[in-house]
Amino acid sequence: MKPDDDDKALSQAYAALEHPLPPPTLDSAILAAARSAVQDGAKVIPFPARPRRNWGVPLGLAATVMLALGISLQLRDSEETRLDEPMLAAEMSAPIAAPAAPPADAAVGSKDEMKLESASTVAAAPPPPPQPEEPVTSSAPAARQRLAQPRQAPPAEMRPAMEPGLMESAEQAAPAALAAPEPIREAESVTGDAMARQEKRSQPALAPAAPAPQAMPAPAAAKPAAGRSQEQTAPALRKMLESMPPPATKPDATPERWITSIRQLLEVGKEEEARRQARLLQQRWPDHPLPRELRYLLEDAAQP
Amino acid sequence: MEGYHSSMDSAGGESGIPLHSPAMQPAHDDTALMLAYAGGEAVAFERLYALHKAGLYGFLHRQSPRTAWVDDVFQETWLAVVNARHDYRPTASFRTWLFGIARNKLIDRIRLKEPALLGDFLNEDDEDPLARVAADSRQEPASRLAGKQAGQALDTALRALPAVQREVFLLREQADMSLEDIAALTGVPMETAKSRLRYAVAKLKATLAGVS
Repeated sequence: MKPDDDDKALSQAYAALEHPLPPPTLDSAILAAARSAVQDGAKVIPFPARPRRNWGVPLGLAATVMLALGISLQLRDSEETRLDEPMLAAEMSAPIAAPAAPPADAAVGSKDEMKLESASTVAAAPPPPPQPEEPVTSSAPAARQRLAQPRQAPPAEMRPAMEPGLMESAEQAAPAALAAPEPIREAESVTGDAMARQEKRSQPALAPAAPAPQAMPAPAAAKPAAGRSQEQTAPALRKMLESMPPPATKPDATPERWITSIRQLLEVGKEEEARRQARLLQQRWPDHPLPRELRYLLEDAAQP
Repeated sequence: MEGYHSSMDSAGGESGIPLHSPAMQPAHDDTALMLAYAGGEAVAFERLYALHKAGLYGFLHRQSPRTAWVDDVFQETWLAVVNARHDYRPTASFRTWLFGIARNKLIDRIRLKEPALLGDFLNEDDEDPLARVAADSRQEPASRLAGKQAGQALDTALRALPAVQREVFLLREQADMSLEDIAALTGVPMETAKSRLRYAVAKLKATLAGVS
């Protein structure tokens, strides 16, 4: 069928050219489609002959994942920031919350409870203004409410030496001190009965859900304690507070997060609370220096 | 079916498919294979595919204006064969039918993707082929071609041919089709097909002469 024999050379030259073959994957796909069409009797449809370099789907998927990850991280960070204030309140109430854990039927009070009892007794010397609407509890909502309210200023001579967290503990324990009149305590010997009685008296003040009116004895019982002078009680309280361990902090609170919380407190104008947290941080992490811009908090606190 | 199986085996298998397989594999065997496949013999299609895949792929590889289209048009052609198996009538040779499908698929692709190229692939070549051959020969002096391999020069010259001339040449060389079949496939009178082939061969010969 060739036009003439002179074209044989051209045909040979063309036959000598490189003639590409379809890729094996394409062979397999076509043959598989042909087999399935015979077996199933279905009409085959065209399929991608080779993997297309369509980056739209993977890129879109990757962008979606990155966007979701970024949003979740931002949400988590904002949630941590939002939780910082309640966590600080929980830290402040931790000293009283820890002793509240023992069961009510404990036969003998622990040493810490005795100290707390005495502390509350001493702190009760200036009777705090009655707060009947706030039950004695250490739950987080109550602590948050206390943060929102203007804090009651302790006596002037007690403020520099007293840990603010313990101050609040003392404030919370004040009603319990009313239930333990000082003359009775001093007169009683340390016997089993006395210890049990003290334990029983301290339970309403330490139990989180105990209503305040039940913990309040007759007002007359507080009169002898109120008669004590603040000059006598302040050194005793200072000495007792110094002997106490640093207030409990969140077990997972790292110095960095603590410093972040301090900065946030400063940002919202709670400088006094920031000072308190700075001191707590120094007590809890003495080997972790405060950032330079926050050290004034400790210096101010050191000045009487 | 055993008869065509044995005759197909003599063709040398998939790797040894020559460009001009009809000498060893008569057209009527293609028709028998296609009818057998339409009857449900999947192995008949495998033999058809082994016999014609190289010729068809080579034709598309050189005739397609875009290399990226070759695989798609190739597989679309074969799937069209699969889907049309029940409608196949042995009025023409299987090869003519197969390449006709491939040509139509390629033109469809050009019309869809790059319609500006469509005129070159349809029968709209008003240019005097001989004048173009002469002009191309002048543009590609022998001294420039001398440094190239003959195969590369031939390949380059083949791609430089007008699409309709290249198509006729490829159908003849790659598919070993007769001028009658080429004319029927491309939809032009036989004399037109013959002249296109003559012009294409003239240019390619000039290219080879320049190289040598």
